[in-house]
Order: sequence, then structure tokens, then C-alpha cells
Amino acid sequence: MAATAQGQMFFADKIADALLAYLIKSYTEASGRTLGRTILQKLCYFAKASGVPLPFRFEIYHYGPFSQEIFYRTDDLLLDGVIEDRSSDPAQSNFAPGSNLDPFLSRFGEAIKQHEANLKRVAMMFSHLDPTQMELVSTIHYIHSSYSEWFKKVPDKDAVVTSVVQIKGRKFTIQIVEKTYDILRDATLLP
Amino acid sequence: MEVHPVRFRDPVHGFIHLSKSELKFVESKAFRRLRHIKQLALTYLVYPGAMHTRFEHSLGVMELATRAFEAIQNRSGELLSTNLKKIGMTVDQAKSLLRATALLHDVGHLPFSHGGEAVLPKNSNGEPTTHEQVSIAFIREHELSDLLEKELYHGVVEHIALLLGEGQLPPELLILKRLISGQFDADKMDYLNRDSLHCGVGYGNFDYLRLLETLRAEESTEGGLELCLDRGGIHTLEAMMLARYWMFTQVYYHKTRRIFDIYLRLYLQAWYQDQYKDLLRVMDHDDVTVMNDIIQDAKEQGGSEARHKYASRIRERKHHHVIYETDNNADAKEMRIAVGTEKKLRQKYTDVDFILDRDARGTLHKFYVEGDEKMGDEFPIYDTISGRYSRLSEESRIFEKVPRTFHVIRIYADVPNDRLTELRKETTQIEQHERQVI
Repeated sequence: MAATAQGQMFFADKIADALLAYLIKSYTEASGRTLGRTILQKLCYFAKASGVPLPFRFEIYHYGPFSQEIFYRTDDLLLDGVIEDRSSDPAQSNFAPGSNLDPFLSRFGEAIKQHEANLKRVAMMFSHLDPTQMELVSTIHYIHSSYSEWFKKVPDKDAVVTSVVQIKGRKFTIQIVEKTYDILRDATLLP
Repeated sequence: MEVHPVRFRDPVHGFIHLSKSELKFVESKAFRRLRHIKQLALTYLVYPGAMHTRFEHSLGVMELATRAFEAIQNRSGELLSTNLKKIGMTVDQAKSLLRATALLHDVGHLPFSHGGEAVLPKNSNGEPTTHEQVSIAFIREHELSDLLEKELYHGVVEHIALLLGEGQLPPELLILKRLISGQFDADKMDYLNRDSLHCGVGYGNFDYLRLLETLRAEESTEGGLELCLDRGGIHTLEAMMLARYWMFTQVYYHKTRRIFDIYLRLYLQAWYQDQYKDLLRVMDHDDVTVMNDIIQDAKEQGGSEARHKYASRIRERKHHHVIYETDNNADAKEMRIAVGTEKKLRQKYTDVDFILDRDARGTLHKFYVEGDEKMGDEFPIYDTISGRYSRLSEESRIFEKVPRTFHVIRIYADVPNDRLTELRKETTQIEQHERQVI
């Protein structure tokens, strides 16, 4: 699809589009890198968990929590030149700020100001993790919070680790799952 | 499991059986209201048979979700009960949860279904409230909530809210959610066939009975279970996706239906006076009460100019005509051309009222396609002869041929028939000029 010329925007028009664009900008600034689809999914997941009102609904998927809607929103941001994809491989994405990013964000100054600190914190916190590590931390977080909601009590470590190992056992050993669980708990990231 | 002694006669699925408990849900004030909410809003102004309601659709979704669940129970029963046991559920409980969720999934629809959603208040994040959120508000309201908790099991109300998309679902329940909102869920199976029947078109018909017969469950790498199809069911799944594509183009985004949707939205925005800040107030209205207002507003100008104008359009079936439309895959470039063309038309024909419809957009499917840049839903396929498993993307080449999204942009003009030919010709010239300069 052809992208929109500078200054003209037709598709991205919601607060969530602006929050998503700001998250991409914050991550590229914090890490000095572009970001792929898996990282973006997990950043949105943690941003939502930390209280940023993103409308995406997450379900557990091949690489951890996933929301298909993020793809449609990033498509709109790409079409309007708010972000750009620097990947030459259609099966991959390397998102980076686009030429219309600043004019677009300036339309949502108030909403961004309200959630700026949270978005920056999430971008900074995970800027050093690779997609595989992000997959594990977000899966642990998802299982922990969905079990908390379902059983109406905080699940014990064993229940969460057992479930994560069942799902991710081929990729991660039980020792790594346990260690990552401890890191998340000690950083008070588990609800 | 309670026997189902109550039955409804349905034009699509034959007899639909309910338990005495479920009949109480159907007789609740919230659910009764669906008898007066048309499934396809004002589509009957184009396809006169489209008079069916959310009431029968909801019963149909419950019936098909049950048949799908029973197919899985029959063919993958052991897996299903082990999976549910992990979160303390029995198979019977899961079935009653599924049936109640399917029955009530649309209970919060506004008058004229999706056509009315424009008047719902925005959420704190600026996103429009969805009818699912209204459904959850109705289900939590005391009449339905008390009934559900008493007749089914303690905690069922919050479980229904989870299945309708609120909160994070434990992986063990994903299989139930897929039957209500997934790539081949009971909702789509019902509305494609039902809408097709009532509109008198063949586009939405596909062999859903065959699809149900080939369903089973497999352990998922995502945790919980995933839906699996026998190899023999692939073709009905392909047919379902094509049925959706054809229904989008021929019914849901039909040019005349669209313009009446636009009038309806504009009318309701003028009619609306913040009454839905409390979502439960949605229960006060249905198609009949709103149509009474439309009839009254069409007669007199006492309300507001906008109310009179759009009510008259609907009442008298006098509509703008299409003078320009893109193909079904409009992108940013086509959007720029259409916006530029409409602007030039307005400048040139100051006596003509134009409407630009740029929001006829939808998702046709979310299946994974080999080599596609987006992730999509992938399903295991079971070969009953060899006992081997493969993936849907390896077995079918149809999905990669059909675009995932649909987007058509149209310009409408309010002119008498004798000016249409000239205006369309002029529009084509302007559009060709815009295409060259963009």
C-alpha cells in the first residue's frame, strides 16, 4: 500500500494510535534500535498492565500475550507515515518513527502528557530484552494475572511456573522460568 | 446436565431446545428486547426480507455453539475434561457457561444493531463503547445477574464477562471463546446463513453442518486446547471465508444500505441527548420506539432540522446516489484521490449535497498466510486416513488469495436522476486529474 504524503493523515485518528506511536518513539530512543512485531506486542501488553488505557485485548498466543488489533493499528500508522517499517523482508518488521510522527503526536498532547511517564518507564524497562526474553516475561505475567482473576486469589509460584513450563517447556527450562518469575516478583511487576 | 424441554422453531436450524432455566433468561426484560431489534438495521429498505431480529440470531448462536461443543466432546472428550479440570471446571459447567454466553452475547445491542452504536459514549481512552460492553453491563444488572447465578452456578456472571472479552482469559478457556468469537465461530456460522436466507441471496450459504462434523480439539502450544479440523472440513472453512467476502460486498456494504446507515447515524446523533451515559438506559429503547420518533420527526420540523431531514430520508426512502466508488481494496492513495475529488466537486457544484463515505472498512479474515508479514490464526488439520497432522496454511491456498481487509470509498450526490449521468462523467474526469497530480 502506498503511504500518505507528509502532513496528510487519514487513518490514524484515535488516542490509542497516539499512545502506540509514542511507545514506539520512546522505545527507539531508549534502546537506540528499531523494534519488531513481537517486542511491540509485549510493550503494549505491559503498558496496558501498568494502566495505560490501550484498547487492545490480549490472549495467550505462540509468542506470549498477543492482540491482533495492534497489527491493524500499526497498519494505519504506517499508511499515514506516523511510523515507518525499515525491514526489507515482508515477514519481519523494523518499526521506527516516521515523517508524520511529530505533527501527529502534537494533536494528542494532553493524552500523551497524562501517560508519558508510564510509557517511557515501560519502554526503558524492557529496552535491553530480546524478543525471546520478552516472550517469557510476558507469558509469566499473563498466566499470573489470568489465574489471579479466575481463582480470585493470587496464585502460588508453583501453579504459575507449572503452567508456563507446560506452554513454553520446549523453549525454556524450569530453572529459567523460576528465575524469571522471581525477578518479576522482586521488581513488583506481578499483580 | 438438565434436559432441554423447551423448544423454538427456527427457520435456519430447525428446532432449538432450551432448559427451563435458559427460558428464564430468554424471558428477561433485557433479552425480550431483542425481539424488536433487527439484525441488519435498515437493510430491509434494500432487501425487503431482512426483517429478522437479534432474538432469533442469539438463539441460533447458542444452538451452533452447543453443536460445536458436543462435536468436540464426542471426539476429544478426554482432552476437554482434563483441560477444564485444571481450572476447576466440569464439562457440564463449561457447556452451560458456553450456552449462556452465546445466548447473551448480543443482549446489549442498540436499536438498529450496529447502526445505532454511534451514539454510545466514548470510553476514557477515547475509543467508542462497544455493544459487548453494554451486554456485560446488562448481564451484571440485577435481573439477569440474579437469574444466572441462581440457575447456573455461583460466579458464572464474571465468567461470561471474561468470555465476552473483559479481562484476561486463562488459556484453558480459550477453546470456549473460539466457539463464540474466533475464525469459525458460532456467531459467523449463524449470521452468514441467517442473513443470506432473509435477504434472499445465496452469498452467505455454506455447509456449516459439515464444518461442525469435522471439529475436534488438540493440545495447544499456547496452553489449553485449540480447535482442530479434519482434513475433510477445509473446504467448508474456505467456503465460509468466501461467504463472508461476498456478504460484505453484496449486503453489509451494499451502496444503498450504506447510505441509509449514514442517515441513521446522523439521525441518531441528532436524536441522542446523552441518555446512554448510564449504559443500562440502552434498555429503554428498541427499533420500534426509535422508529416511532423517526416517523414523527419526518412529519414535523418541531424537533431539529437534522432530525427532520434524516427522518424524512429514511421514511420516504429518498437517498443520495453513488457517483464514484473505489474497488474493494482502497489504500491511502485511493483515499487521497477520493478526498481530493469530493473537494473539487463541492467547489464546482455548490448547489449539490455530497457525502463522502470513507469508513466502509472491515476485516474479512485473520487466518495465517504463508509468507505474510502479519501473524494470523493457524489451525491444526487432522488427516483421518493417515493419522497425521498438518497446518491449515499448508493445506489450503485459498486464504492467501483473499485479502484480509475490505475497504471501499464512495462519493454520493443528492441529484435527480436526469443529472446523474452528467455528474458521474464529470466526476470521472476530476478523479483522473486527481490521480495524475497525486
